[in-house]
Amino acid sequence: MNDVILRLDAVEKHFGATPAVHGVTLEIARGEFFALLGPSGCGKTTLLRLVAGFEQPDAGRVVLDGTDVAGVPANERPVNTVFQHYALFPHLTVADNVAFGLRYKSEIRNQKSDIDEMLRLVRLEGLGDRKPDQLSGGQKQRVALARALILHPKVLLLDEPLAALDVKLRKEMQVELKALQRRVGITFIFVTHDQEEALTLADRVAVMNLGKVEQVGTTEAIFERPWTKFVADFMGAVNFFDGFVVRPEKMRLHAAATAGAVEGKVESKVYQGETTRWLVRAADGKLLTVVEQNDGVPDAVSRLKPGDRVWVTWERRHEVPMK
Amino acid sequence: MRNPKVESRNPMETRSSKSEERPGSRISDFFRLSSFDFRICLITPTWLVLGLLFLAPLAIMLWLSFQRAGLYGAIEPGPTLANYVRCVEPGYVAIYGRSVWIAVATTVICLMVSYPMAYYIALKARPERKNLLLALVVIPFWTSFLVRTYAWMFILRDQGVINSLLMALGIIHEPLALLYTPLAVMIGQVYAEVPFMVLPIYASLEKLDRSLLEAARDLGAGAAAAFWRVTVPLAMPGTVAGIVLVFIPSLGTFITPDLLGGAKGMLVGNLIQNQFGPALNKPFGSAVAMALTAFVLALLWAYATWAKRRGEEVAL
Repeated sequence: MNDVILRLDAVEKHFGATPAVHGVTLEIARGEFFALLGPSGCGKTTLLRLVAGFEQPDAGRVVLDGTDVAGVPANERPVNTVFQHYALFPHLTVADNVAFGLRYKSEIRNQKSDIDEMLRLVRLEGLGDRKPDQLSGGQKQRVALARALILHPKVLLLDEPLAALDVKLRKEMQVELKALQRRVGITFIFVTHDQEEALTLADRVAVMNLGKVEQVGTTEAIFERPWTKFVADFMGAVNFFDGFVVRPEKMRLHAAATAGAVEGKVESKVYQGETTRWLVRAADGKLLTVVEQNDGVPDAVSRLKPGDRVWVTWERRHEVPMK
Repeated sequence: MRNPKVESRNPMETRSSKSEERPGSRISDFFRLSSFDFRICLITPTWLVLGLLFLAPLAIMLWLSFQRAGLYGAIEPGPTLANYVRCVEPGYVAIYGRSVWIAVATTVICLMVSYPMAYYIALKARPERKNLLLALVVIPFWTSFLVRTYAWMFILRDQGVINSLLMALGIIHEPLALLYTPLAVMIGQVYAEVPFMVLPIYASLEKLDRSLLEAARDLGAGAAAAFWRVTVPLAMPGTVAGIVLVFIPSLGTFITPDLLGGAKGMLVGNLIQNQFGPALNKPFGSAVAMALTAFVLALLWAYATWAKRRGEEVAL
């Protein structure tokens, strides 16, 4: 990567005795859409706050566009944040929220047209005079985006940007956010605990656990070739064997004995709309999870009930090596 | 006793029950009706207290203010505007001016003292300390206001704590005239009113979403700018409540100026008290009281109008 916008170098942050961020080294390229993915308490939000300037690292360096930003307060960093619950100023109109940071940016002129253009960009034209409490969740989200993007940050940080929205709206906003990022070309770093959201939005993902980065890579690499048991498990690859792991949707069920199959009994089946999730207890006691598409399954399989004998197969090429 | 004000809520009840209409609503209607009667029972004591102890005396004073004063406190039938005409005589206007000035100064000083206190308790103090700090603000109320004001006499008088200390240290040789000055009135008044300013400001700062301050910093605002553009406007309802709670009692106070202000320190509160007491002129006292009430209401109305025009919430 020759065009690095943000480099984290062995960053440490402790709260009391507990390390929140432990030896994190990352490089994020200019224009990238980057996800910090992990369960709650893994340090991803702390990492975001270290970049924003709300926290200072105990050790290590945060290098933003070639400059070490150690000790630089949040208001002097060329970085802006979209907060989890948007943090819109309730006493100001939408337009005033969007304009809030402009007065600290002397180089930005022609503010009125800037604001109008930004509101148009996030599809809020005509809502400039509203107060935040007159907006829907999705609209608030867009105001938060506009308020940050109008300042042309070198990096836009998003803290669980879609977590407060309902499922349907979240899907829409995912598409919109991705398109917006392409259009403005600004580096987006977002924090999420939702692996599907990370896969949908990001170019690359860092999976975090207990303050450390477990794996960094493209969404495909993270999903198809996890390095650690934690990453595999977090991405839903839950069938662990000696030395390898297999994703549930890569396994097939058979109602009759098949060469090389693992024999077991159906423990439970959960209909999930497009797919059905089967739990199979293998003869050696191991519990296997198998996800079958509902349209491509032979009747003999779909008729299986808990307690029935079943055979599970998978292809060798789907085995992901794991120590 | 069915109060007309309570009954006027009835149409709203009917409307809300209509909007939730569903099968088997007779039972719910039954409960609604009984809970409505229950509500009348609950509100009755409030109306009794307000009616007998607040509205009735106010009405009596309004009536009194249009009557004539006779000899030895007798009241002779009016109606007359003479009491109100007398209200605007220059000697009395000077008293109003002094009262307003002291009340404004008290309020401003209270605000300057209380805001940092409330800010510290709400936003800076460690959470486990908050209750202790709030208790310290409230503890003076455990002692009678009169006793506390007397205590100030002992602190401020010529042989009082302050003068004795300064003279013992050789800083002054003659005692400073502290007691029976406007300064003494202001000190006593600020001391008495500070908690009424701290608590509402604290309440609104406590509710402040900290992420808004972070958002302000994130967007480029320094600490001072974040304070003026986010903290102050969002704490405004509590601040206005504090200002009202301090300004109005300060405008009508009579114990503090009586004990700490001396003969020349008469304020409008003392004037009213005098008319009802030694001066034996209840009609004139009532007229001054009504004028004071009208003045305060006019101020509140002016504020509400101004706030509404600015599109702000009116916290009164």
